Amino acid sequence: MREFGRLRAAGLSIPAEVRARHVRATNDGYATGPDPGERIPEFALPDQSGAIRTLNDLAGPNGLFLVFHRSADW
Amino acid sequence: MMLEKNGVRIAAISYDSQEILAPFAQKHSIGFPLLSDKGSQTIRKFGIFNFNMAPDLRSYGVPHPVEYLVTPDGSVVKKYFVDNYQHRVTGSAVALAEFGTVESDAPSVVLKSGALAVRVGFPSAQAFAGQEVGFFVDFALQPRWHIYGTPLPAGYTTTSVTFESPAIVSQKLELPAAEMSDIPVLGETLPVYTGSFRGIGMLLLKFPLPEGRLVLQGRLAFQQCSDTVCDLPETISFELGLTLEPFMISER
Repeated sequence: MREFGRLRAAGLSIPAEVRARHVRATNDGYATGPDPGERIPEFALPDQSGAIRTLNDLAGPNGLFLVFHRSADW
Repeated sequence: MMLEKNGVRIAAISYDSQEILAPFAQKHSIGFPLLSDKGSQTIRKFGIFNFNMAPDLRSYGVPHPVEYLVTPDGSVVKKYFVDNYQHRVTGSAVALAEFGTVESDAPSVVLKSGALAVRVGFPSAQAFAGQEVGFFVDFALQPRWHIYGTPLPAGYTTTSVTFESPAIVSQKLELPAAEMSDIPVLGETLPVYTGSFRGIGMLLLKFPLPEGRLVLQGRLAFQQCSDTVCDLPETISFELGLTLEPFMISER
C-alpha cells in the first residue's frame, strides 16, 4: 500500500504487480453492509451546500441510489 | 440521467468536509447531493469502514466501495460492490437491470437467422474505463421454434452471448430460467426458450483505457429447433461501439 503511494506521489508509473497487490491489500476482509431486504441505518449529513439531508428528503418516488466513494480530494 | 427518469435520485457519501465537496461539485457540475461524513460515523454505521488503512494514511476513514439501491423507506433493493475504487457500476446498467431502460441513442445491433431475431445493445452510448457496463439481449422467436437454455446434455448448444476484447476484464449474462419442455421428435425433455425474452449482461471494462471510441467484438451462439426439425448450431459475430469519456484526474 505504501509502495503504491510512494510511486504515485513521485509521479512514477506503477507496475501492474504493485497495483494488484495494492488493490488486494485495500480490499482485504471487505464488508459490504446491509443486504437486499435489510434496512440501511438512519443518517443525517450535510451536503455540499451545508443543508442537512436524510433519506426522507433525498429519495425519489422509487428510491435512492446511494454511492459510497473514497474522496473528492485525492 | 436514466435513474432519475425512473424516479430514483442519487446521492454520494464520502468522508470529505463540505469545504472539499462544494468546489468539487461546482467544478464538475455535479447535480446530485454530495454528503459529508466527516469522521466516517455513517460509514461505520453501515459497517463498510475500511480497516485496512493505517490511521496515519489519508485513506484512513474511507468506506469499501459499495453502492445501494434503496426504496424510499430505506430497504435495500440491490447492492453493488466492485473490488476496486476505480471500478464502478454504471447508472445506466442499474436502470437497465431494474427498470429495463434503454436510451434512445444507445447502440444496438439486430442479428437474424431463420426463426430467430436478436437485438444486442448497450443502455447508453457512453461509459468510463473501469465501469461495469450493462448490456441487453432481446430474443424473439417465431411460433413453434425454440432455442436452448441450461442445464443441457452434451450435443446441444446453449444460447450465449460473449464479448471478446482485451478491454474487458470479466463478463456475465443472465438469461431468464428456461422452461423444461418435452421434445417429441428427440424423445427428450430439455430446457428451452420460446417467444420473446430479455437477457441482461454486465461487462467490466479495464482501467485505464484510452478515451474515445471502443469497438467490442461479440458472438451470439445458439441452436434453433422447431417441433419437427433442428438446425445446426450457429454462431453470429457482431460489433458494438461505446464512447469512453475522459477520466477525471485528481490534481493532487
